[in-house]
Amino acid sequence: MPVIHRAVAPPAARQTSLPRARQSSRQRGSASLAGSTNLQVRGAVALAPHPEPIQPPAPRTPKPATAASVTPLSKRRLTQPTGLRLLIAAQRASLLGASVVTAAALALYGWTVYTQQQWSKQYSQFRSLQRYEQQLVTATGALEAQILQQPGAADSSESSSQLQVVSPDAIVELAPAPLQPSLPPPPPLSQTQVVPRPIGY
Amino acid sequence: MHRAPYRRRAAGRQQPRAAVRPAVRRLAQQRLRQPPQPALPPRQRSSAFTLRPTLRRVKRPITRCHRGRLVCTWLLLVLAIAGLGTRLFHLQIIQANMLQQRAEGQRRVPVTPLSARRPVVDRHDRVVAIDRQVYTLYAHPRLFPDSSSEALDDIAGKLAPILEQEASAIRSLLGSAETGVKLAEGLSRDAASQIREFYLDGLDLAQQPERFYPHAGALVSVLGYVNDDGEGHAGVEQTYQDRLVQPFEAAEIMLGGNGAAVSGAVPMALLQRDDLQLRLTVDSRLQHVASQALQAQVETFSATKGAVLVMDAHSGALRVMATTPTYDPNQFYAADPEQLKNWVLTDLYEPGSTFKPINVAIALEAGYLQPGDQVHDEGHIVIGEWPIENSDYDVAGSRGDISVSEVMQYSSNVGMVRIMQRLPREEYYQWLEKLGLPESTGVDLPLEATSILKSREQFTSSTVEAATTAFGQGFSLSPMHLMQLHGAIANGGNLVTPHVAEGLVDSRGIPQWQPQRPAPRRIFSAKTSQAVLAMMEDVVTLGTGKSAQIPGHRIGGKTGTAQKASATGGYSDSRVTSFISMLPADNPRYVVLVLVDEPQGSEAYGSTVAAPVAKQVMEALIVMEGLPRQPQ
Repeated sequence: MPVIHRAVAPPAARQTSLPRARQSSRQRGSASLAGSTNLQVRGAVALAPHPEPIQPPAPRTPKPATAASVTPLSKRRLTQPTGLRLLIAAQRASLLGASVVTAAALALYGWTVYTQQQWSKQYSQFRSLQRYEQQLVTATGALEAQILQQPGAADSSESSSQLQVVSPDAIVELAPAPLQPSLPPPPPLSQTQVVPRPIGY
Repeated sequence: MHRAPYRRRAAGRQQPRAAVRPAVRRLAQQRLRQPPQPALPPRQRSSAFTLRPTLRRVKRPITRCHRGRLVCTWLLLVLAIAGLGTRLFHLQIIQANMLQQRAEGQRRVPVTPLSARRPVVDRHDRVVAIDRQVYTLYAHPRLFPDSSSEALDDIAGKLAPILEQEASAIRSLLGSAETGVKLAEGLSRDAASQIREFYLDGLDLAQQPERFYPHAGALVSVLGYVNDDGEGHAGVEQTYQDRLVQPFEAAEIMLGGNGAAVSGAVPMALLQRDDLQLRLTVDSRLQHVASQALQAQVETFSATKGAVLVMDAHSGALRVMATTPTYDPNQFYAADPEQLKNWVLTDLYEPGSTFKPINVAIALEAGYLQPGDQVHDEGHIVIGEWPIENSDYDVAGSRGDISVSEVMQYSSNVGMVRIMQRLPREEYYQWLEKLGLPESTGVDLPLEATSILKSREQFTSSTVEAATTAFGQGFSLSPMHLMQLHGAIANGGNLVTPHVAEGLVDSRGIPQWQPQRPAPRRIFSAKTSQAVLAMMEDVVTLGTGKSAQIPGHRIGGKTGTAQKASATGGYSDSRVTSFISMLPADNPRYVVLVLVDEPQGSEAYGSTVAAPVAKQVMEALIVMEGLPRQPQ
């Protein structure tokens, strides 16, 4: 625990009629400055970073503060009341929570709008793909039918026809390849080791 | 110091502030805009109050005219507020429901399915029937921005090239009614887009699915057609109506402000529609070959109609069902009603000589005949009082003792009578019943006629009934039934159920549903069917079926030339020529039946009319199915 010493302010400063709160805040501000820079400023409070109390450095003022004039601040005055601390913690937590919730709400809203748009787009694409599929299948069927309806075997002499039904004479039949040499025959059963069946089974 | 007049006025006159304030304010603003004046000596300063006359004008007392104006303004404002309030009340309270409904109506759009029926594909998954989107164009001349005669002429002129109609016809339609004029139907998507580009109020395009048959009339005997109410007629469209109609729950989709669909309101059933399609057993390519060959032969012999059936002997799956004349199912309304029926199923005929192999199989199976037996063919006999003779009796006369195979080769009527006379008539009748003659085949196509057989008493009491039945006359069956019976000979003796639909398959071709069919029923033994097959092969090799020979392939067949029964009783001069064939003859996979009804000319026989068509179909079948050549 750092021990806080208060330098005795010069008489002029002590005589000021600053309200206590303002005064203390000024002191706190000086204290933090002094604590961070490790400099002792006249009329300010020094914060010692180490448990051992820091001896005030040699004063530069004509009236140096004596060790007796530095009185430690009571802990009670500087520490905030528990209720306030809780309230501050609650306020910070709720601020954080509110920020998170707001961000989440905005994200959720954006997400719903985005997904809605995407859904509409995908749905219309789905419907158009269905239509295209139907058109494609229909067109393919119509083309196949048109080819098949060309005069073929029934009237192969038709000059307009480029198609002709293949007659069996035009088929080239390939003889099946000779069978591959078969695998060596398995050893006869007599050579296989017959496991004697136990009588018990 | 510039505010001095203000103060004076405020302290001085006791006038209504409303009347004075505007003038004062103007003055003040005027003064404020002026650059600051140097302070004037007191005397000059007094002269600065020359503005006083202006203020005095404002201070005039309120006259009656002013009061009236005020009251009028007040009244006007009050009336305006009252009017607005009334209108608000009217809109928010009285018309609220109606307006809400109207708004909902604009936001809610019914989702129309792209297809109402599942597609139909052939056995190679070629599309043979599919729904497509078409548009019906309605005009509401009352809603046209300009309904003058010139404007209507202009609209008719614009629509004429798109609708492919005369402009004058469209113009007369536009003048016929004020609203709901149907200008055209079955418009393509392109035509609809062109019409939409006019951005003309009063034109309404209604979208609906329509059945489209790419192969037009080539497959109509299998497919049938769908009428405007979405009901299937004839063919598989009727048989599998329940399976073809895609289940669809009426659904609406919500539109957002930009007209795009809003999520969450679309029924999942719409998004997760199945991709099932009805797969046929028919091969559309082979069907086209058969149709073209048949059509050419029917025209050559000026026949009235013809049919080609190809069936897988083992499964009963029909590979071809081609008929002529035919009609375009895309325009079924333009077809002759007589053509709408599938005569292969609905019309009965006397099969004639094509029934002889069945009779031989009965005799063999019943044990009254052996394949090597011989019968005496006199060429001409009289049964009871009815003379029966061979068709070539004038040329060939009596052939004497001939084998059963020769009876088939020469298509000897007398020889067949002698064979079937070995069976007791009662037993013969039982065999005909066993073949299912007075019944139908159970094919999965509608309106199949039931075969006609004489009654048992009539058949057994008269000798001539069994004699005529021996060579395929005196009873009637449908071509499909004859096909089924020959299928039993081809597949080793099983009576299979002919069918054209394989079942529902998904887009990957995996079967999802198959119709239940009766199990094959054995009617002949394999030995009997082999014996008959050998005789039928001899018919093609040596007998009347030579015109169906295909080098390198073993084919069994039987010609038929049957007299047609006349409407007045007895037989007319017209005939039905037919040819039944099977290939490969040693173990047939396919049965081919060709019928040509009433071919004209003295040389019109089964061997000259039907057999050449069967040959063309079998050649195509060999190529398409890759049937290998066989040693002769």
